[in-house]
Amino acid sequence: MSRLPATADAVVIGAGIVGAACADALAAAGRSVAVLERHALTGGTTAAGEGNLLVSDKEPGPELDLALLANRGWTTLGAALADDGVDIELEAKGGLMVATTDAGRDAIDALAERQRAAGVVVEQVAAEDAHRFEPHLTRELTAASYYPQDQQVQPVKAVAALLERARGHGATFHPATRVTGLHHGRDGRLTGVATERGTVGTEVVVNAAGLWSAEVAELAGVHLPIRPRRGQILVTEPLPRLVHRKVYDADYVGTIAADPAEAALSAVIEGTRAGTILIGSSRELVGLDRNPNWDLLARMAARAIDLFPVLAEVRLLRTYLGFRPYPPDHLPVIGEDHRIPGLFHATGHEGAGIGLAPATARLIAAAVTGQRAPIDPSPFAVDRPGLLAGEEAARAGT
Amino acid sequence: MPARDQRGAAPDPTDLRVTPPAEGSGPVRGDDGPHGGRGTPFTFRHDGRTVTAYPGETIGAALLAAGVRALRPSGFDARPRGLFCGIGACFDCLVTVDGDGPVRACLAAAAPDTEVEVHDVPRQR
Amino acid sequence: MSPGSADPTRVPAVVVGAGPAGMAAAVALAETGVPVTVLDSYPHPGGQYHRPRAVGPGAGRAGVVAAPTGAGTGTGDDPTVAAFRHHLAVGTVHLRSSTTVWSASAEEGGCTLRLTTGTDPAAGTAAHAAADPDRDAALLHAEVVIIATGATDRVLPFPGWDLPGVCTAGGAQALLKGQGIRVGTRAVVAGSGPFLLPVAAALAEAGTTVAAVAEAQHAAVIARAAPRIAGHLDVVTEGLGYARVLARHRVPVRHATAVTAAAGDGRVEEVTLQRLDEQWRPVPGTEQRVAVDAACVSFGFVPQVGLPALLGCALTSDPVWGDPVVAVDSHQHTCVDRVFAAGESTGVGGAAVAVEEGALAGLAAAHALGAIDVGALRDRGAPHRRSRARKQAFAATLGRMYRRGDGWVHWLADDTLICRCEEVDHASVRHAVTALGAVDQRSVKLTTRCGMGRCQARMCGDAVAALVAHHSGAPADDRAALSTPTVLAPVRLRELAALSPEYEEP
Repeated sequence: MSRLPATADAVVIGAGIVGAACADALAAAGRSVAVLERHALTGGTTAAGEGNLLVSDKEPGPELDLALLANRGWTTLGAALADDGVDIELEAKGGLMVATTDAGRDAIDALAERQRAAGVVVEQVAAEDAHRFEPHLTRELTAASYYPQDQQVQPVKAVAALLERARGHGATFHPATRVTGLHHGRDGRLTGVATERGTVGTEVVVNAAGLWSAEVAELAGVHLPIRPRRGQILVTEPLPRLVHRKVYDADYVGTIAADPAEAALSAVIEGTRAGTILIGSSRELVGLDRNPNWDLLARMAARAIDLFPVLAEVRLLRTYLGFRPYPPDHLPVIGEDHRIPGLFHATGHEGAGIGLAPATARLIAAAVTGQRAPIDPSPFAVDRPGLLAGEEAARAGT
Repeated sequence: MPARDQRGAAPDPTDLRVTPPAEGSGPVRGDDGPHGGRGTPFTFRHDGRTVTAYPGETIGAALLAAGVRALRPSGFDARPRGLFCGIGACFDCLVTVDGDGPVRACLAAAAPDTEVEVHDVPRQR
Repeated sequence: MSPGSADPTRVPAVVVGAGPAGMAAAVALAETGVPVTVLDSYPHPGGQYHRPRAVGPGAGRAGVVAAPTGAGTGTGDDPTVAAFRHHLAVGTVHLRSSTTVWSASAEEGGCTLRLTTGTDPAAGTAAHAAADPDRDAALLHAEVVIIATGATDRVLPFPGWDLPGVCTAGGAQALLKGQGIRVGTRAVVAGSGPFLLPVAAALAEAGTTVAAVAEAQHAAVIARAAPRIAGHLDVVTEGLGYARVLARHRVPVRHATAVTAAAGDGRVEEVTLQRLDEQWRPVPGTEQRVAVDAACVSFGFVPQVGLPALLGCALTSDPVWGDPVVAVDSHQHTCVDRVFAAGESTGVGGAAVAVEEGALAGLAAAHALGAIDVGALRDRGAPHRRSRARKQAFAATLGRMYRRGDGWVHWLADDTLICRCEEVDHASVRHAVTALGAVDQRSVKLTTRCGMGRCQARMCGDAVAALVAHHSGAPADDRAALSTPTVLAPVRLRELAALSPEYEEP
């Protein structure tokens, strides 16, 4: 596309949702920004996501704070883009968490109580009333709670829109531009980014390379413990609307934090505007293996049918899989790397990158411009206990 | 379908059914009219009308012979679609049979007394 | 399908596809004493080439063709068909018709194939399927697999190509041969390649007025390569036969001409024929409107490589067409142990090449199973290898004669559909490439939905690759490297769920 600029105030590496949001925020703050992408936009995790913007799946803590900030950010962004006539299919469709067992009921109720205390809106729904939200839901529920703040976006459209807006503020986008090196001066500060197509002089690099963010860090000579955690999704044929909101199995929340060595699954079911139904989700640490795990997919289908018996006769059209950038302590890495001044990480969001992107971009923009962050950024810092140290401990233990 | 069973009548140029040749080189067995050798016709319902079909015909072929070319509206823009690839690869010719489906009309065999309906699932961009 | 049917039925050898390559492979294997299971999506074996008549006397017998001339293709006394019938009759080959492999994986010791059954496999319920003890097995484990999945028509998009009445030439032929139904009363047959002639001849013989055959290639380009096929007398004779039929019916055959638009109210009523320059760019001012009720279009064939890709077989770019094809060695062996491929999935060469490849694949599979030794593999394979080489050279020549020009993209309007399933138009694809930086096929798919629909990009993949190259100015991507569908045919969620041992029907 456009020629590489000789210099930029900031270089963003990666044109997924996080990179696009950071580019947009930095460009809006008046910085000249170049976005470098090794493939084309959304080549990594973003396009493999469902576009979930969730607060419901998070336990109180720093990630939930980030999610609540991001949730408001998406609402603002969606409205601003809509004013410009740009549609990113942002839909405040709400989420319904359901349980079919007594244990599930207890888990739902306890979680709702903790989340309410942290500022999440949770409406208790009597199990027998859940079908008013979802007429095709099984009647054999033990509990349900409704999360009106949960939203949905079309992630690829969102990335395209954010990049477009960033370009409106002077940013440049360079697909098919692989980064080959990060230059720094004697003082250790970054001075530029080398690519296959030339070098961009810059003192600020935002590492939003997701799955490849560890490789980018490696170019600067530092270790970043981000590994791929695989997920699979089933996509049905287009149908008249059968599923209206996001519907989660109660053990979804438990799955995210489950022992990562085990393949885990929980049903997450939702309809899309194009008429397809998406059925997730699974989590596996299998490197970058792209062979589908049919055993897991079969169990996902079975669980989806448990919750929505009508799905038994619905046809599966395709499956896809993606790799979430997974840090060992389940928290995104957002902020300047204390080891390499000028290198900012915006990565490790695992399966929540789309949801957390606007808040991540605000933290990055604040860190780059030296402004006050809207929430405490320290839990996401590279030098937090549990990230590098946790990794070293894990290595020492093996 | 108008009835056309007088032996020796001139072929109807609008009739899309071709008299099948006999197996080998012998005379067509059971040749008793323009559709000779096709066996005993039956009917099914399509979109409120009665359609004649012969044993072995697919729903798509029988509908085409009955003059039905537009099988369904496309999901997003409601543009008419018909038989396109004819071999089950393109999924344009979807219909519903007795409430079940969609099935590909180019593959699914026509069956007596079934209700074939238009597969119409509007979609949003 | 029974609930919890998670244990596969084990068989030594599976052939996927019962066209020329698959039948030849099954015959070769069966003759070494290996029991063979043949899976075929259609109700009757034969594939597109030997498509059997489904109606009238002899219905369902491969090789019995309905077109009055038998034009285009297979005849009843084909030796492969006869041998296949024999093995079916004596039970050495077991055919599962109307059965589609919807997914598969290669493992240690063989492949697991996941199957769905029905007249329309998407119907699932197998309402019309014959009673057959293991027909319901949804999981099959085979020690060796021979892939003979064939090809589908290549159609380049043009304005109005989604109108009813516009169909593939192969579809028109399938209707005529299989169903004894003409696609229309007045038609044009357009596109490129030797396949246009038999289809036009068969339609003319069946009583359709063929207003024109429009071959996009320039006659001079074809003529330049023509001396190289002079030695293939059978094929030349066949071609002359079609030409005679067309002459008798006064069907004009025009070169350097394409259907560049179709129009009509709810169905095709007229097409625009237009001259093309040597790069296949339409020449302004040469448009001619022709009233028709059918337009049959084909630009050759696209190999079906979904199954081999899913099994992990390496794909390569066809040197003539650029399509992804299965890479095989001289024994038709793919890079996956005990998985072989034959026929169009390894590169379009026509039925004559397919049967040789099928026979070689069958012998190699028999050797892999220990049914024949190396000497037998070499000796029995020798004649097939010789014919294969000769016929492959011929097929490559045909490919050069009909190699398409890049200029066809100029007949697209902004609102011409590229992806029929997801209704993505040309302007959207161009915008994705030029404005959004979607400079490969995958990101065009992600940004536009192009190729995400039911047909899994079978209809548009080739056109999208060409458009990405055209609008980005970059060479076409290596399409062989693109990710492939994981689900080869729609399947009910309960059929997937039933692969899980815990699943209980609701």
